[in-house]
Parts: sequence; C-alpha cells; structure tokens
Amino acid sequence: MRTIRRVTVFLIMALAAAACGGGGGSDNSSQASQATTTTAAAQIDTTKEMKVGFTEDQYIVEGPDANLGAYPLNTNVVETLIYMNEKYELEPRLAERWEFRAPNTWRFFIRKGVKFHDGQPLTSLAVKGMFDRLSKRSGGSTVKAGPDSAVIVDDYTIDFTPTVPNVRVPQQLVHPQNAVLAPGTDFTKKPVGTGPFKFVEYAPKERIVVERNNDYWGPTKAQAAKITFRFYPDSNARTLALQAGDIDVAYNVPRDDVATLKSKDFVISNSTVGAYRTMYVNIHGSAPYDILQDLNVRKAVAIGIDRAKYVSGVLNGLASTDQTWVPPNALGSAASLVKGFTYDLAKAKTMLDDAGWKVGANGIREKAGRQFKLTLVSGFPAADILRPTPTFIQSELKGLGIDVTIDERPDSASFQALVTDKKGDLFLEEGNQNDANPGFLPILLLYTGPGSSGGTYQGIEAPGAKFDGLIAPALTETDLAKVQTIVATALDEAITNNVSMIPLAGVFRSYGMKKTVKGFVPHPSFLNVNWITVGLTK
Amino acid sequence: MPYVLRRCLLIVPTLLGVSFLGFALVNLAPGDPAEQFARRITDHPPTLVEIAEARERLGLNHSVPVQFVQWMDHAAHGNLGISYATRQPVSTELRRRIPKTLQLAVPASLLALLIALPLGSYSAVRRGHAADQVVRIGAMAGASMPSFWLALLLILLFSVRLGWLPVAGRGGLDTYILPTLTLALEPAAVLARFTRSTMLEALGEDYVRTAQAKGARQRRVVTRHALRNALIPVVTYFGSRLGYLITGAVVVESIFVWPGIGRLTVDAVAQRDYPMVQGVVVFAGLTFAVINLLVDISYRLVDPRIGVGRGVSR
Repeated sequence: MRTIRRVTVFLIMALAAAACGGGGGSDNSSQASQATTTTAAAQIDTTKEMKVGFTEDQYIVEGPDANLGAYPLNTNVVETLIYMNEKYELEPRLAERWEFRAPNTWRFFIRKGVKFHDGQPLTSLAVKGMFDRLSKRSGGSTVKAGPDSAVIVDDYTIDFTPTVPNVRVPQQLVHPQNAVLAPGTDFTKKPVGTGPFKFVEYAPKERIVVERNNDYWGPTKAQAAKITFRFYPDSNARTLALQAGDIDVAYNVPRDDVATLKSKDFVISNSTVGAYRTMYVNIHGSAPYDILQDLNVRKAVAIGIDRAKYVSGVLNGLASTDQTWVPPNALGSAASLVKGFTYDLAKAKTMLDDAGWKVGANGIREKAGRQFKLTLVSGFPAADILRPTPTFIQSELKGLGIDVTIDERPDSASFQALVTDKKGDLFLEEGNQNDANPGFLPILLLYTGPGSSGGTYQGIEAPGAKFDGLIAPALTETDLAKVQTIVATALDEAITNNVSMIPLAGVFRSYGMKKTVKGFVPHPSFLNVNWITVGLTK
Repeated sequence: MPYVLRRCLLIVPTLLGVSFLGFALVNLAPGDPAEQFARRITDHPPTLVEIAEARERLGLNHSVPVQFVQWMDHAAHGNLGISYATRQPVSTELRRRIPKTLQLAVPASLLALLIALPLGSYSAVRRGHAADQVVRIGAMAGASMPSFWLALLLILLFSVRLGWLPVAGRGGLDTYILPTLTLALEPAAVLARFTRSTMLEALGEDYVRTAQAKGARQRRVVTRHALRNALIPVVTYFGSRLGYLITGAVVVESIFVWPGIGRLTVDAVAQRDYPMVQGVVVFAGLTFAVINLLVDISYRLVDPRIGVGRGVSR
C-alpha cells in the first residue's frame, strides 16, 4: 500500500511537471543578405568548432518515419531535391530542374557530379529510394507517394506520379523529411547524405555532432569544422547556456530574454514571419458555445482587438500585424489580397448593440437573459508558450462587454481534444509553415469539398461552400503565382468575410548568438536553417 | 514462509496495482495519443484518416480494459511494448535512461548522507549553541527551497556569473556537479533535521548516560551508542528519498537537460506515450518495493535486536 501511494505521488508529480511545460522573437537587423554572408566568410576561422542549442530532441530512429539528423533539427547532413529559402521561394538543390507532365507526373532532372558521404554517386536510384521510403509512411507522406510512384527514366532523370492528383509536389519536397539518402542506408542510426556536413555521433536527448564534408559538391564548403547541436527543451536553460558561453547559437530565444541578451552584447537575429498566432473561431458550435455563430458578432470581436498593441506590448515588437495566417512570403505579392480587420472599438460596440447584445448592469452584455460569455481555449503547442496572450484577449474583449473565460491546456493533446469535441468558442494557437505550399494549411484545415481528407478543425471553423469553391482551383493549378492568388482570395473569404479565424500576429523566428558568430541567415522555418555559411571569427 | 520471500511475493500484486493505477491515470488525461502520434510524424494537424491509421497502428482501437489486459499479457512475457514516440522498445529506452539517472541519484544520495549525518549529530551534541542554530536555519532553508529555484540560483552563480560550470547537459564530470548538488541539498537538509532530533532523543537515554558514567569518550558515546540507535528513522527516510531519486528527479532532470528517467516520464506523459508511461510506472513500483524491503532488512543491521518481520525482540 505504501508503495502504491508513493508511485501515485510520483505519477502525479510527473503529470504536474508535464503541465508546466517554450516561444520566440528579435532585432530589426536581419542578417539575411547574401552580401553579409560573403563578407562574413572572409572573417571566419574555418578550423573552429561551433556549439548550437536547439529545443527538444524529437528524432525518430525506427521504421519508415525515422528522421535522424533531418527533422525537426536539420543538421545539414542530408539534402532535398529542392530547397526552400528564407523567402519561401524554391531553389534547385539535388534536382537541377523539374517539370510537370500532365496529367499527374513530375519529372526531376538530378544534379550530376554529386557524391554521398560514403562515396556513392547521386543518381536516380537514390532518389527512387527516397520516394519509396515516403510511400511507406502514413498516406504516402504529404506528396502521396505509392510503391510504384517513382520510375527511373535514366541515371539522372526520374518521374514521380503521386497516387492521387497532386500539383504541389515541388513545394512539398522541400521538407527535410523528404531528403535523399545514399542507397542502402537509412535514417535510423547513421544518415548518409550529400550535405555540407557529415554525421559524427548522436546521443539521444543530449546532442548530435556533425563535421564538415570537405568533398561537398557545392561551390563553397561549410565554414565551421564541426557543429555540436545540444538539446535544451527548456528555453530558460537554452538562454542561460548562451549567456554562460556553453553554446554559440541558440534557436528560438524567448522574446522576454531578448532585451537581456542584447544588453549583454549578444546578437539577436530575426527571420521574417514564419509562424502565426491566431484564434480559430467555433462557428458551428452548439450551446453554450454557439454565440459566435452570428457573423456580425464574430466581426465585432475581430475588430475589437488592437493588434498593434498586442504586437508591441505582448510580443515585444517581435512580430508583425499581418493577418494572412500563413506567412505572407508564402503568398508572395498576393498576400495583400487578404484584407483582415482594422481595429475600431466604437464600431465593434455598435455592431454588438445592433446584434442585440446590450450592456448589462455589471458591464457584461446580455441578450434575452443570456450573458455574453466566451471560452478561450489556449494550448497549442502549449499554454505556457502562448501566455500572456489569453489575458490580453480577455482584457480587450472585456472592453467590448464580453466576459472571457480562459481555459489553458498544458499540451497539444489536451488542446486538440477540446477542438475535436468543439468545447470552446475561440481556440488560440501558434502554428508554423514549414513548406512552400501556400495552400497547404487552408486546404487541410478549412476545405470540405471533393478530395478533402477531413480533419478535426473543419468541425469548428470550415467556412463552407463559397470558400471551397474559391480554393478548389488550387488543387489542380500548377503555376505557383496563380496558386498564391487563388489561396489569398480564398483566405480573404475565410478571414475577412467569414471570420472563421481571427489572426492576431505573424511571429518572427528569433535566434540568439555570440558576436563571434558570422554568416548566419535567420530562416522563418526552423527546419531549413542553412549552416554552410555559418562559422566563428578568427 | 520466510519474511523476505513473503515480501518478495507481495511485490507482484503491488506491481499489478500500480500498473492499473498508471494505466487509468494516463487514460483519464485528455488527449488522443493517435492524434499526437500522427501529428509527430506528419508535421501538420492530422486528417481524420491519418488519425484512424495511427489508432490502428498503435492498437488503440480496442477498449481501455482490453488494452490493459493485452499490455499485462505482453508484460508478463517481458515485453513492455513499443514507445509511441521513439518507436523503440520501452525496455530499451528504460535500459538507456536508468544508468543516467543512477549517475545522479547515487552521488546525490551519498552526498546527502555525508552532509546530513555529521551536521545533524554535531547540531544535537551542541544543542542550543550558535553552531546548532546555524545548522537548524541552514537545514530549514535547504528543506524549504524548491529544487527548481535552487537549480536556477546555482546556474546563475556558477555558470552564468562565474563561468565555472556548464548550465545544463550531460558530458564531462563538470556537468554532474550542479544537478548532483541540487538533488542532494533537500534530502541532506531534511536528513540533518531528522538526525538532530533522533540524536537528541538518543542522547537522553539511560544507556548513553551509563556509557558517559563509565567514562567512555564523548566521540565514542555519540558515534557508537547514540548515533547507531538514532539511525532507524533516518534510514527509513533515506530509503524513501532514494526511491524518488532513482525513479527520476523530474524537475532537476528537466532543468539540467539530463536524459534520465525523470525526463523520460515528463516526455512520455506529455506525448501520451502510454507504453512508456506504463514502463516507467512498473519501474517506479519495482524500485520502491525493493527499496522498502531493503530498508526493512537494514533495520536489523542497524539494530540487531530487531528481528526481520517480528519487530524488536526483548
């Protein structure tokens, strides 16, 4: 009995610790320019080794989902056919070019003269191995690969035909999980790729070490002789490790630590928008979560939130007031088509009055004896990362006469459970975009038309037939610029016209580093940081 | 049936109980492990089809009681299952993590004893003196200070300000110092208080006065007569603390990024990695059961008058 009691206490402690579960943000001086990188290379000591602090070790080292060294921490050991740069643009990598061959085939022309770290040449055989590996993953991965999808045309040409129509293959292939490995190797123990760094060792939950590949095929070799990536799940520990000199670069610096680090002469490097904070609106809810079924009420809530104040006051200026939901760069010049909301408190109040919600005796609005109460669920990826946003929203909406109850969820699993059950009015989350497909999230989360794969989010926020009709052409259009326009138009319908979601801000990715670090280009997607140009000064 | 054998057999129903409790607790927590699993491998909010596939793949399409019985069946054959998160056998992960936790737990326990026994004894002997007051205040502070707070203070001083020790991570010997200190201080403080109070009691006993009257040296009276008799409650407390240390110091391992059982437990619970949670529960139950047994046996070593399983014999 005594033992059972102790184990119960132990379990409760563990659950509580799990509940106490990191966020990002920096400087206006993004180091992204190529010119800066070139200048930096001249100052770098190529014999020096670097240490980098990453977040959590989430590598999978078994089965077809294995991704050691590639995802979520991309150590640049492996490479993809196509690379997504910091502007969400595609750049040829192991594929020199590609073309669409109707009705549903993509032809890739493989770069010649590339060798894997074990000396094998890169040919179509290795690329076929990559597509075959993806076919074994759930649903054939995002590209929808099947066992017969990849057909070798010749040593340097390969055709890929997805199992279902998929015109977004190039944009999806940028994800590091779709990297090409040397034939006969896998991601489970020792990834053998073509990248600028070679795998050295991996200690689970501790570190992964890579060293320069002196035979790299590219025009330049890696600047750092070796990089040790250490895992720091706790953001405070990561920042302190940077301050103590244990690491040279820290991923995802908490925005609250940015001022301190700057005052201590550390450099903060911010990417463009790579993540977003948004509130998904339960527009299909039943009582008591049915108030936001009224479109005018949703619009009033959306224009009653001061985003400029949120970005400057809560996010310390390390974000933008973009309301595109997906990073604006992913939408290109079409981003401006998503109009979003302009803060207007007086108009919001009037709209609520007109909707029958009158201010009651205690300042909370009422309609037919019912008080205007909303439940804001916060918890993706974790409640602590999103604080104090819920309190800010609560305060803003109180100014409108709306009583907001905050329901914080310690982790994404418990958050998702409430989304699935539609138990809440507003669902706050911070998500990100890790590939170059502008329609990926809108189609995945909002689209309910033919070919929809279904998902839990549609249950609360699917805008309906008009949105489906607007975005459907993106499923068959191969021209990326046209797709960007299609998606942006559909997003404007979902956001501005239908208020299926209330975007709050576009969030920068912040990296902290010592002044001796040169050549770093901040990438809005943590998965695609390019380490080849980075090193320490002489 | 010999007492020790009886106690060993009792471990079996105890493990059954804690396993059931563990299974019930993780299943009561909101969140779908299939959704978590699918999100982890797809890097996007999973579709209903992907969630259904994950559920099938993980064997979650059975009812909770059936899952529990299946798990018990496999566990009885030495198979604790496959981790949802890492896709590796739970037993492999446990084998990898346990030594790392022991690398902190053992030195921390020894350090706690090395600090607590001399300080507690000295404080009792010097009762009412300034040294006693210092030890009592120090022990009170040490026992009251949350480990996360102590850890941050130590990091700020020794790592950030002085730059002597690494902030976190596991590597050279220097990486062991701060987590070991953090782990040791609280049990050292509580043990020192325990030792002091039980020593005070022992020092007032007739046999101590008799030894003093016979002219035994004060050091001998304290160490051979008083301390030995004062140790039983100390051993009991130390045993329970050792159990906590071996089953993973959740907070300390999290702060110092130490890949031990504590960190594994936190990750497993957050990821709804049921097989891993169950594996940790079984390990924790077994650890506490064995330590309790060892503590009981050690009573006899400390006090030969105690018959194992029979209490004190007169």
